[in-house]
Amino acid sequence: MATEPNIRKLVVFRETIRSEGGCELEKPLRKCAAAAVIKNPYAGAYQEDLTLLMEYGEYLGGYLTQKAVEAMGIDPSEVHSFGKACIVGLDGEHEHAAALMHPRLGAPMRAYLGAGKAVIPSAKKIAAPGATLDVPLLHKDAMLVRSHYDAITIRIPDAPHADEVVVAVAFTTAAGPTRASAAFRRKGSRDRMGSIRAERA
Amino acid sequence: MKPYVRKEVVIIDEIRAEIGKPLPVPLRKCASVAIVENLFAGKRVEDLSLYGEYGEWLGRLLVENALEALGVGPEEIQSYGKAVVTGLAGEQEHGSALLHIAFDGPVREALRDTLSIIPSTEKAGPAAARSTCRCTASGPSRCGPTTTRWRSPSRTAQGPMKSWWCSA
Repeated sequence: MATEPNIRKLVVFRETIRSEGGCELEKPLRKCAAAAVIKNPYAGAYQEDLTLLMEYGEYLGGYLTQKAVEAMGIDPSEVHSFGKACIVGLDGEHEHAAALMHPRLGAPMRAYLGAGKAVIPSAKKIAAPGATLDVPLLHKDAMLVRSHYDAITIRIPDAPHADEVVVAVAFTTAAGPTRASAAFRRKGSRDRMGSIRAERA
Repeated sequence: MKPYVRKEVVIIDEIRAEIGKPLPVPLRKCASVAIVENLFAGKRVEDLSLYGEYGEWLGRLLVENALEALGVGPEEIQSYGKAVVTGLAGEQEHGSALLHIAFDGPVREALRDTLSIIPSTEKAGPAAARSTCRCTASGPSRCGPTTTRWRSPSRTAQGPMKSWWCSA
């Protein structure tokens, strides 16, 4: 069962990358992260049963995916890669992030995209407000597509408070910029690092 | 004239509650940023008028990006501000030229009924420098000053320059 958490704020970060290393990309690359700042119901006290956080995760997986894809202005089928991450405020535990992300957050992300055979890469940390977080990104259907190994950095100046968690999901519309500009113009099923190309995933 | 744009970024901060008290209407603050090449990096250039033309083009681009990302029309904008961070090989004056010569015209044109000054901040800084944008009410409505903070992590340390525009 998905349970809607109390969201203090919702922050969307959207990058439109037009060139890298002086090379114009044929099509601008979009990377987007959507993050919700929620109350951590278990801050400051040990709690054995983390079911509520799992239910929050189930809600946020679908909700944040929709927010990010809408912000990119694309159809869900145009998403290339995905990732997820949490920053737990100082009165919480690592395990709170794990409960939010690992059991149930992924399924609604995949459902919204109508794809997603690969693992959704994740990162978590405990930190003070204003911490930066690199949300990892991988190709949605195959882990070995190295052109899509990437990350997007987010930072919310006033979050998380000690009793909050920042929950983020992230997506891209293409490979990382260098690969999009150079390797992807080359022919063949493998890019210049010898890994498989996205269209063969 | 338009500058060489490497990257555009928008950050939308939607605030739904403060100290546990839900807001009747969520407050949305948006920063719209562009990372552009600084042609004058590492050089002493007396005539910065080219950056007036760049600034005019950027004013239009950044407002368009912000309105599109917020999904609102110009009539819903209540306050605004602008800021610039110049990469370390450049001068703070380069950023000033972008913001202060002709930047405001297309902003006011796009937002229509604007009365007050567009407050600004400027600095020179390294990659991942943080910048705080001051915002004031754009029209006669009474809304207090606010700020939006942003940083962009992936700038090379020298050369690029950021210019941006913010609405709340």
